[in-house]
Amino acid sequence: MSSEINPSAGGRRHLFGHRRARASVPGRVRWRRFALMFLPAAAVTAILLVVTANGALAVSFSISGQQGETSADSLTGTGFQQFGTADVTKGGTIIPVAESEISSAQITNLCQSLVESLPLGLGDVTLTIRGGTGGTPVSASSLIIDANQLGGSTATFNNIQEGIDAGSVSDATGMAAGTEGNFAQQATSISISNLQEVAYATSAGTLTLPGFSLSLTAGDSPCFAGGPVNSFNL
Amino acid sequence: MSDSTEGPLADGPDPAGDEPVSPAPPAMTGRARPSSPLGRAWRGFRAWRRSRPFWAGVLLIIAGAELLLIPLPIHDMGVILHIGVGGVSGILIGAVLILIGLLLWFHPAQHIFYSIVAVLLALAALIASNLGGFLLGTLLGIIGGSLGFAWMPGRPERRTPGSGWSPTALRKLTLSVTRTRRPTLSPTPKRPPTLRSAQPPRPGRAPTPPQRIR
Repeated sequence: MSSEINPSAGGRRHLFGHRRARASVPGRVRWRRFALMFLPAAAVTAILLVVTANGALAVSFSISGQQGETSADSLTGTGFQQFGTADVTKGGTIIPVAESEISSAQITNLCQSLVESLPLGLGDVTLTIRGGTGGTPVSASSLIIDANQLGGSTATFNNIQEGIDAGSVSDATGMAAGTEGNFAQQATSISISNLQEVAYATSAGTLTLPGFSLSLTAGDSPCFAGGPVNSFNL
Repeated sequence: MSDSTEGPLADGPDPAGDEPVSPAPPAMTGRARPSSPLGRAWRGFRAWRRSRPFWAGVLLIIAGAELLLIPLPIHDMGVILHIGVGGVSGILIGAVLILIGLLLWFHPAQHIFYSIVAVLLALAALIASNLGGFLLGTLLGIIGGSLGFAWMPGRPERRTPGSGWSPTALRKLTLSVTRTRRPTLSPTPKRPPTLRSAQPPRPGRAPTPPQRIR
């Protein structure tokens, strides 16, 4: 028994030493291996971006919490509903927003910008995404926009129902209704030209972005300056 | 024996070191360093960092955090309920990328599998979540995943066969030992011990014995 303990103790010490040695063996990045993984992945990324820019691949967007600006030359959509709701900040401040939900939309000359202030006093950067510039419009499905400012030069609503209960809106099929008792409106189709909006959250289930471009510019240069013109009274 | 195991271990990180280490013999630095606890902690961290794909983990955690935070409805702006399909997938992919970064640190044995999953997820994020967090998250994820995939424990492949890291270190060690000993050993048969103190400055003697050793 004791003769068994002694070798096992020695073996344990050896094992520990082995483990310690293995744990402290430094490793290296083999750059040929890096290229083996990175280059195909980068190629796939490039292909996906090209396919997206051709409008053949739909991507999914969801931005929330940042105030972003969206502008478009025209937006035509089917299945529209809009109701008032509130986004509550951590501090308890209530931001009234109009939540617009559109089942599917065609957007020309879409511009979306997010202005982000960098830490360490590095100033602002503006991230801009453009799409639908070259004739083919951007098409979006399940578009949700929490806007606190929304405007356009002309807006056409077909079969509009105003002043209905937010809990019972149903024109944007398959999308969430609002809180019961709130004011809402809905329309089977809409058309807005020179759309300008300021939103706290934007989400699109699928978004094809033909002719898409993504740019990062220094400074505060959003899609449109100031508040939107001709804002609707929400 | 204990010296020979300790020597290469202390010597190991030095050639790859990004902080300059004095070219003193490894045994000397090993004994001189532990005087300051901060230096010892830093050396410990450095050894820990080098024994796993550390920077791959860092990049993947940053990428995951970026992908996760864009759709996450908790900012200083507050809680926004509608996050949508892209939001859910962005949060999921971001969380898994952070998890993979941590796994690369604490379970580096499976680093190849984790890294492949990370690269695939970073590519999926391009479609599923805000164009991969406006490309940044996808790029960081691909670079981090590739680094994790390319990281291998141990030294790089031996350029000259038979000259692994420990044998060269051992040979250096023995060379330094013989260099210091030879001048004292060789003159002994010729000179009386009183004259030995005058020996080391002679230039002709010292270089020859190491050449004979090689």
